[in-house]
Amino acid sequence: MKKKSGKLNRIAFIIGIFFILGLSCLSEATEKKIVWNSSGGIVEKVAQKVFAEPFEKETGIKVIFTAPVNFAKLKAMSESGNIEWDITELRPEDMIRGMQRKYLDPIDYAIVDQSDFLPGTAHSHGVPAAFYSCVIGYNTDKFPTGNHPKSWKDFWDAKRFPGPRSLPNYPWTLEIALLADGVPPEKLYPLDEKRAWASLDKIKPHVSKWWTMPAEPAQLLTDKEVYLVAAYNGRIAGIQKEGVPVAIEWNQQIFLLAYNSVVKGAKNKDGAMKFLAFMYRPELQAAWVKSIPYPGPSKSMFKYLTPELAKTLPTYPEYYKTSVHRNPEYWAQHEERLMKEWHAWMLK
Amino acid sequence: MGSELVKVKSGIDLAAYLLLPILMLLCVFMLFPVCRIFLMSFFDPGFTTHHYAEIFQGDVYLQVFLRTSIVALLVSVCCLILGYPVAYLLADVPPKTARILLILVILPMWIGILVRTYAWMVLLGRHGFLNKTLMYFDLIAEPIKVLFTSKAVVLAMVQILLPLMILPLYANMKGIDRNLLKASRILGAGAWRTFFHVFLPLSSPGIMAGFTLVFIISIGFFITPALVGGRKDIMIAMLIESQITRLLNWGFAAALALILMIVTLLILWGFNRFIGIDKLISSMNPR
Repeated sequence: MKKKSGKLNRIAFIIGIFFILGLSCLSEATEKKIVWNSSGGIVEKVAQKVFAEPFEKETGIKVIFTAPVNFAKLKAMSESGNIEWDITELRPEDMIRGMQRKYLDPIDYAIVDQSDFLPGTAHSHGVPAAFYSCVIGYNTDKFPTGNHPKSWKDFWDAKRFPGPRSLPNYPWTLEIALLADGVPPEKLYPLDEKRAWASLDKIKPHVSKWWTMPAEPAQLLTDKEVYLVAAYNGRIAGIQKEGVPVAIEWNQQIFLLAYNSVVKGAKNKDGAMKFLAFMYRPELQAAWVKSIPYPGPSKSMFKYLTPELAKTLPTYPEYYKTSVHRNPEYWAQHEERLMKEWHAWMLK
Repeated sequence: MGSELVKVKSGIDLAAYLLLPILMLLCVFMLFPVCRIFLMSFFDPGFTTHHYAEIFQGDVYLQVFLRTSIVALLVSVCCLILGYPVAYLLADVPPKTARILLILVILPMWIGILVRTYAWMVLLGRHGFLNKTLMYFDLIAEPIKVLFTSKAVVLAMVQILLPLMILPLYANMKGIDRNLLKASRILGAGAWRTFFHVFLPLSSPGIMAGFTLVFIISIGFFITPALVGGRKDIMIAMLIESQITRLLNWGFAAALALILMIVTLLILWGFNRFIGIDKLISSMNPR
């Protein structure tokens, strides 16, 4: 009896081993999945439906989502050689740094079609994932539309437009300071830092809060803590929908974006390129902006959109014309120094 | 006598063995990372002291260290002053009442820090509860500025960290033998003298525990100062975070973290000297 059960146990053990091996082989079938590290939350939910599900149906490759976007994690991954992501979203400065540090692979533009992209937005190591912008948000009770600040120069004009304001607590506010001081957008770089600090000194007494988290300016407008903010368009649009009396001035929007990059050493690089190519089909890009106000680089997407929706997007041709572009190379090089100077200025 | 000594000695041995798991845990998850941070701040990749030179160059980082320490000290002292009577009351009332009061003390800890911070923004804002009330009673004509100042930072942090002061104090005071107080009164000491010479010294371990806990947590505080503070309310944790996640300058972040640790230890050492726990404890057991 004892012997028999021992034998049975041994057989069960061997079957078990094979079972586990088989399972791990299945899950190791990396060519059938890609890992996409993105912002998570609602972005992930929509991306799952709009991009991932149809992609899996067409190619059989499953898209696994991870979050959040974290450059420090990419560094740790690349240095340890344990690459968990195939594609990751990155800020432009981080994409440049990642390229310089060889954490990223170049995008294969033979597979990803960039002919439909807004000109100049495709980068050798990153495809634009989403555009957003830093716009002027204003309280419409205090400043009725038409009689509101229409440029950063107006934003700085505390005599014509009195009331507390909120600006980003980051050194790239220097850009806004220069625009407010009358520097034309195309001559912004390299930044005239001395002039920028002098311009910031002028607005300092009127700024009641320098925000660090993107949700803050929307909250400050809602609570009437401030009447004017420099904030991301999606945040202002969000409280506008909730009925808060605010509006967006798109003129001189600071045009920003996040990139999708392929990680060097990715387990499924081919799958990653295929997925990127799939994502940028105009009809899918249109489906995307119906839920998320941060559009991709597609130009022909607008023919699938109603004019009302089109006018809420930073890439709407009329807004795009007057937009100001940040130079990520400049920031990748100078951010560290400017961050320190920024803190010193704040403490003054 | 001799056998008693042996007993005590073997008891200590047993206790030492019981401490082994936690010591091992601390070695792996505390000592090792601290050593790595120490090395990281000096090697980049060759030996260098430039991270430290950068910190002591100019006064940005020194100023932030100073501000952070002052805020943390202020918060800890305020928590002590506010928490001490509460703990005293908790230890003095009948157990049934104490239980209800204790729940009231702990309850706010179940609410997230972010939510409590936002609540302070609603209370202190330009159109917030405080200003509206003061203006309703004609005490002020214009809204006063509290939100986005250091006052708001200290106020919000004290409210958030107060339970962490009350709980160790309460645990300590609960163990104080009340007969000692009676003895002091019988021997002719007044209420104040009894408090200062008997109760306060006996509660000093609780003070030290509560103070240490609140101080260490507040010196690394992050979200609350960023949300309710003004432009000058920069805490060192914010700089360390931006060095790690934005600028990827881990060596520099390590140097900042190490100096923060040294500052923390120095201040706690100073506080310990000031309160003089060793002295108090030795006066309790003159032999």
